[in-house]
Amino acid sequence: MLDLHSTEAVLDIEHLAISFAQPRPAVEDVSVTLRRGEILALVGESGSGKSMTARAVLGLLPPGARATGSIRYDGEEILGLPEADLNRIRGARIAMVFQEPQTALNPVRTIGWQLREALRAHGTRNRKAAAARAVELLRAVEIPEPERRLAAYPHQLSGGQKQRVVLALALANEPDVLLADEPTTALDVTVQAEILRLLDRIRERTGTAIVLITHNMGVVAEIADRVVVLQAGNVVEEGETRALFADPREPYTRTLLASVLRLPQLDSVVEPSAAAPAPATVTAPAAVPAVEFRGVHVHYGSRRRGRAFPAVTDVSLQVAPGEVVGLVGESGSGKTTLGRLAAGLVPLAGGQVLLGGEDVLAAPRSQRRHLRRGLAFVHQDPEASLDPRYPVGASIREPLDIHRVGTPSERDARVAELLEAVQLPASYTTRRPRELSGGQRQRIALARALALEPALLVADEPTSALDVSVQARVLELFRDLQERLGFACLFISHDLAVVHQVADRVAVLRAGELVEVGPVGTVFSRPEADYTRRLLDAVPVPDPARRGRRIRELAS
Amino acid sequence: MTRYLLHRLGSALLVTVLASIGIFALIRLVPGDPVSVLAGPDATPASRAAIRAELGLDQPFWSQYLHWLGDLARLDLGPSYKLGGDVGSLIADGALNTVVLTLFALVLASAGALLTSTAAVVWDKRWLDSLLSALNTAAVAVPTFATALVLVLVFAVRFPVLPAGGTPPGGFFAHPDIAFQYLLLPGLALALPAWAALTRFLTEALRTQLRQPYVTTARALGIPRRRIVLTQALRNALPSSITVLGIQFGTLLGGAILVEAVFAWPGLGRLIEQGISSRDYPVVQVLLLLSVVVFVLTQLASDLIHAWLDPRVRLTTATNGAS
Repeated sequence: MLDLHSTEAVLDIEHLAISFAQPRPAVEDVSVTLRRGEILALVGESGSGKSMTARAVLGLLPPGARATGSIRYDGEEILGLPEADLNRIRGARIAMVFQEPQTALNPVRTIGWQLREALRAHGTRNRKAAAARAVELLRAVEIPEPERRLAAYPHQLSGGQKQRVVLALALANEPDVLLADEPTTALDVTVQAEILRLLDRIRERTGTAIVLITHNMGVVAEIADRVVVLQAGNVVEEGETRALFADPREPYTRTLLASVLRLPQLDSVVEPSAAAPAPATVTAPAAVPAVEFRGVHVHYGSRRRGRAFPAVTDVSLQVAPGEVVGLVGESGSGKTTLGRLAAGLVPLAGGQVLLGGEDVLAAPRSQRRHLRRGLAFVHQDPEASLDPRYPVGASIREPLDIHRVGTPSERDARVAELLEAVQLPASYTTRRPRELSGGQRQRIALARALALEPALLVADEPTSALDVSVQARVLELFRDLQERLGFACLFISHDLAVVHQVADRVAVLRAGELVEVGPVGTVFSRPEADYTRRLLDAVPVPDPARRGRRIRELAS
Repeated sequence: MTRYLLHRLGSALLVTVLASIGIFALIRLVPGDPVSVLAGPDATPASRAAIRAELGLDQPFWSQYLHWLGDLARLDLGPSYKLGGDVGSLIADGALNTVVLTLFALVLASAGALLTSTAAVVWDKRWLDSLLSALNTAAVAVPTFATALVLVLVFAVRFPVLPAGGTPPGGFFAHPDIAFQYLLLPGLALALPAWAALTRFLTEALRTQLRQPYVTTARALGIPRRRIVLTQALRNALPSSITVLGIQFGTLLGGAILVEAVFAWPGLGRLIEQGISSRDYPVVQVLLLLSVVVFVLTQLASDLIHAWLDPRVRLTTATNGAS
C-alpha cells in the first residue's frame, strides 16, 4: 500500500494495540505518522495510551504487555524485533526522554560516565573521543562550563540541568527521532520555557523529528507543528496545531481545550469586578486574621555549623477569615515551607506565626493541639496522603475520633455528610484509596481536611497531580465549598492559572523572599515586580496564534 | 566526613561500654560459679570462701567491674581460672586461627553471593530462580553444626578428599594450597548461611534497581541489559548490601563457635566454649567483649564503605550531618 507521506515519513505507527491481562487494552487502535523534522504532539489525559505508544516504539513496554499492529522506522518493521536488534535502534536512531529528571539519571555515576556509556553503546569506544563528544553534547544542551560538569553527580545539578543532561544522553548518537515523554512536566515554568525553546532549536539544527507527549495544551500550542489527540487508547482527532486549536472538531478535543485554565493577557485591561473590591470587604481591619506571619525566618541545615540555608527570609503575610490567598513561586521559593510553618511543623528561626491571633509556638503544648484543630492540610499526592489499608470512610473519620467529636454514630453521620459535600456517594466509605481515581482520592482528602470545620486550610498543590479536566472539576468543588463554609485558605501552587482561578489575593515568593502581594486580578495583569512578569511570561499560552510573538518576546 | 566519622566513633564507644556491663553481669547470672568448679564438690565452706576472696568475687559487683576495666586498660588480662596460663596468651594462640577462618568465610560468602545473585538477575530464568531460592531456604534453615557434620561425612569420610578437621600442620602461610584444603570445609559450613542471606538480599536489591527509571533511560539508549546490571544496577545495589554484610558478620562470629567445635579447630570459638563450661570468667568476659568490639568495628567499617560508595552520602555529609 502506498502511503501519501511515505517519502518523508520517518516513523509510521499503524493500528497499534497494546494489552495487558486486563479487560481494557491500554492502546486499542493508534495510527500515527511522524515526518522528518517535525514536532508532533501526542496529547491526552492519563490512561489515554500516549506513553505506552511511545514505549512500544522502543520495545520498552512493561513486562506482560502484548503489542500488535505495525511500527515502521524508515520503512522497516521494528515492532517485535529481538532485544539485540532493538538495541541497535535505541539511542542511535530513536531516542527517548522521560518525565522525571530527578530519577532518570543514575545517582552513583558521574554525568561524564553516563554520556560515555551512551556513546559506547553505539561504537564510540575511544575514551578521549567520547569525552570530547560529551563536552560537545553538554554544550549543545546549553549547560554552562561543560568540561567541569562531566565530573558532577546528578544530585549536584538542578532539575532543569538534569533534564538537559537527559536530553544530551538522548542526542548523543544523533537520532532521527526523539520521543519526549512529558519532558517539562516536572519543571518550573521558566525552566519549562527554556527546555521547550531548546527542543525547538535542536530540531532546527539537526532536523531531528520530535514526538512530544504532553497533557499540557499550552506546551502544545507553544512548539508543536501537528497534534494527535488520544483518548482511552484511540486517536480521536489529528491536525495542524493552528487548525486544531482554532476549530476542534471532536467534542473530546473541545472539552480538553475548554478545561485549560487561562491567564488574562498581561496588557489587557483588568475587569473591574475581579480587582480590589472583593478582598477589601473580607479584610476589614477589625477581623483577626486566620493566620498571620510576622517577619518569619526559616533556616534549613544546622545553624550550629554555620551552614544554615535560608528557606524563608523575613516574610510578613496575613490571611483574613474566609479569604483565599495563593502562594506562588518556583521550586525552592519557600512556598511549601510557609504552609508547613502555619501548622508549626517547621522550626521558626525568627518572627512570629499567629493562628487566629494566637502565637502557635509560644503556646503551651496542650494548647497547640487545640490550635492545630483549627487548621487542616490537603497535600499534592492523595495517593501518598491516604493510608492505602484504611477504607476511605475511616480516613475521613480519623480526625473526628482523635478530637473525640460527638458520639460514634454522630461521627458516622458526619462522614456521610462530608462525602456528600465533596459529591461522592455515601457508599464510598468502605472503599480503599486504590479503588478510586486520582480526582476522587483528592475529594476524599478534601473531605478529611474539612471534617473538623477548620478556620484555615493549607492546600499544597492540591490539583497538580490531576488531569486538566479533573482538575477543573476539583477546583470548582473547592471554590464552591470555600464559599459555603467560609474557611480561609493558603493555596500553594506553581500553576499560576490555577491560583488565578481560586485565589482572592496572591503572594509571589522567590528564593524565600516575598516579591509581591496583591489582589489576583491586579498582580496577574499589572505585575509590579520584574520576577512576577517573567513568571507570567513563561506560562505557555494555549493559543498557537500568539506563538511567533512570544518567541520574539522571550528572545529579547 | 570527619564529623560523620567522629559521630559514629562516639556511638561505637557507647555500645562497647554498655555491652561490657551487660557481659559482666550476664556471666555472673549463669548458674554455677567458678568457685564450685575450682574447689570441687567436697570443699569446705572455709576453703570456698578463701578461693572466693582470692579471685576477688567477694567484692561488690561495681567494684569487680571497675577493677576489670582497670585491668583491661592496662592490657593486663590476668590468669585464667581453670584453663591454665595467661588469658592474653590463650587468646593470642587462638586468634589467628579464628581470624583466618572467619575472613575466609566472609570472602567466600560475599564473593559467592555476588556471583549467584548477578547470575540470577542477568540470566533471569525462572528455573534458576526457583533453584536458588530452594537452596537459599535450605542454607538458612539447616543449623550450622548439621551442615558441618554433613560436609565432613561426605567430603572427608565417604569421599576422603579433604581433611576432616584440625588446622594445617606448619601454619597457614607455609603451604597455602594445603591451608586452603584445611579451610575449605569449615569455611564453607560457616559461610553458607551468610552466603544465602546475602544472595537473597542482593538479588532483591538488584531487581529493585532494575525497576528504577534510570535503568529505563539506559535501556532506551541501547545499552544491553547485562551491561546495565553489571555497571549500573550493581553499583547502586551494593551500598545497602554492605550494611547487610556487616550484620551477617555477627552470624559468622556466632557460627564460628559451633564450626570450630565440629572441626576441632583450635580457635577462639573453642576457647569460649571451654571457658563457659568451666565458668572461667576472665576468659569468657574478654572473648565476649572482643567479639562485641569486632562487631562494632565491622558496623563502623560497613557504614564508611556505604558512605564511600554513595556519592550522595560522600559529598553531602558536610551539609546534612550524620543522618
